[in-house]
Amino acid sequence: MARMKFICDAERCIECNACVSVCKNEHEVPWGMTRRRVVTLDDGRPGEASISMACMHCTDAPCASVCPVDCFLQTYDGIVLHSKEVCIGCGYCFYACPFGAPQYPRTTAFGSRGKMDKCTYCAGGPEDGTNEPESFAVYGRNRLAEGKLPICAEVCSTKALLAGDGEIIAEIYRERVLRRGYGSAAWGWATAYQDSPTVLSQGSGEWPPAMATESMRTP
Amino acid sequence: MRRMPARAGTSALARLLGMLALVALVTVPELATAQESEPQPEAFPAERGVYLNPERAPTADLDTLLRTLSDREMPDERLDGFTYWQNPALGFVTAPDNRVWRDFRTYWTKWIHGILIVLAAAAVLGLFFWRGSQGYERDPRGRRVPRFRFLDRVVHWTTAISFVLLALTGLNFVFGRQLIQPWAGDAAFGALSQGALVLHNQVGFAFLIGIVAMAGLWVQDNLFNRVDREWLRQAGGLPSGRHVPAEKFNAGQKLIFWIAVLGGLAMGTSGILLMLPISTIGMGWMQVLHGGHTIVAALMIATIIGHAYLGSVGVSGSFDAMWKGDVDRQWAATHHPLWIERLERDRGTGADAEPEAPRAEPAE
Repeated sequence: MARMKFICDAERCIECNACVSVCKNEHEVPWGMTRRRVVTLDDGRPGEASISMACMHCTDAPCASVCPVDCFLQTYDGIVLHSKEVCIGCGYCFYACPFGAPQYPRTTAFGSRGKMDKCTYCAGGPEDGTNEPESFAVYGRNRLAEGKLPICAEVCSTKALLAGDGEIIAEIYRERVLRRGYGSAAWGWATAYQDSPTVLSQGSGEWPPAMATESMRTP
Repeated sequence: MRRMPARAGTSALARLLGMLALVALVTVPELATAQESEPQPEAFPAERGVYLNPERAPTADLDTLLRTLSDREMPDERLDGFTYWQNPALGFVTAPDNRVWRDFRTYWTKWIHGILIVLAAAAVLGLFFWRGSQGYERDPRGRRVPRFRFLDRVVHWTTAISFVLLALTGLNFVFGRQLIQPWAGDAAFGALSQGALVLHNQVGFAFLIGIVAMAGLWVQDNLFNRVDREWLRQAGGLPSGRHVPAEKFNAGQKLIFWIAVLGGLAMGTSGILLMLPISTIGMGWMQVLHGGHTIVAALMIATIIGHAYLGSVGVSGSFDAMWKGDVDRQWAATHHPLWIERLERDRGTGADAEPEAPRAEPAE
């Protein structure tokens, strides 16, 4: 079964921010929030590298682990989705996320942060995953249901950002690394997809996860 | 005029395309049958699609492969950088240290709260079965001594009610997912938790005001002195079963006062800071504050369980002090002899004097 992952090739990323812009446009993400961002390491110095970061759809997702209302589910494709009907905007997922993925529409003090928003891997919401206007307004477009990959990876001009089955994109990445002979750091992969010995509260070790809804199986 | 050659070109192209389509129509059925007979890889379910290039399917464990050819190990460490995004708190690639907070939130929080609450409840039950309700001889003439002013009681119950609301809504975030959500359902529990969050954020201010007022009103009676050392040495007379002299508040009550005031101020401060946008003080501080808020909350809940017991069932007659404002004179002489002595000395009234007006202001 496919296990959807992102990988960003820092040797190829040119920090054009097209993935950021096109994601905001595709899903009509509100002002003040971004589902994807480009982070530059050693900015302006030799060895500068840029990495496009978003939700990595972790295997044992910390956000789902700490959520006080259990609003997350992981599809059979490994995509971590959350229900905005159940989410209460407490902010815990942002404390726990190792990638800074969760975003909140309201950043005023002394109030609710509003429903959390994050990358859906272009798979819509967990409730039905359709492209109906109501679902689109809340979760953005479900490109996977249309047989398309996430728009960020599709639009990437240097194909630095790859999306798809983890085994396939890892193999593509491996071929690149072997060919060029350097730059093999798969940023975030160890954090997102390896079992961490320090985590006392592991999520379900079963794969595929049992909590995914039937409708997400065949979009 | 310029378009003429172009139009001629398109018609020629269309004719060529038509011919190609004819060829395709003849050959496509053969291609389709050829695709059907091709075996599909096991790991890839048919309804999800096929590998475009089955030879590319990996042959070994990819984590191992990546690691063996890696010049840097697969990094699992904090990695900061610069981002154009308006929120500078997002200027990082990976922050695996957040696992510490995750463990705290999903593991330690539950144990700390669970153990402290169970311990407090067990202590209260044990005290009840061991010593029962502490009674007192009623004053033969029915005299009552004012103990708490109206303002004292308003402040106390404002703080008490807001504390109970805060504790219940707060505990919902610790145990609700395990205890309530399974039978309440996602939608109902989501609405409940949303309400709990709003309530928690708003009632916190009432609690903080109550704590500050309480500190101002009662701090002069809650400073520790020599009498308290003796009281603490005898553990409040609990093992011996004898009453140890105390002033208006005994050392145990003073301890509760200081736990409530210092703990309440810590809760209020950390709570207000936690309500700020996450980027204001940074993620690390939010995690630290959340941890402190949770641990102090558990300590306070355990303390207040004991306080509620001693103030109602544990010591009979003491509930009237905070509810009606006055107490039986004999109750005061039993539990707070130094206080009643001083009170009556200051008023110039002895034990045999006329009963006082029950609603009079206390001397202090």
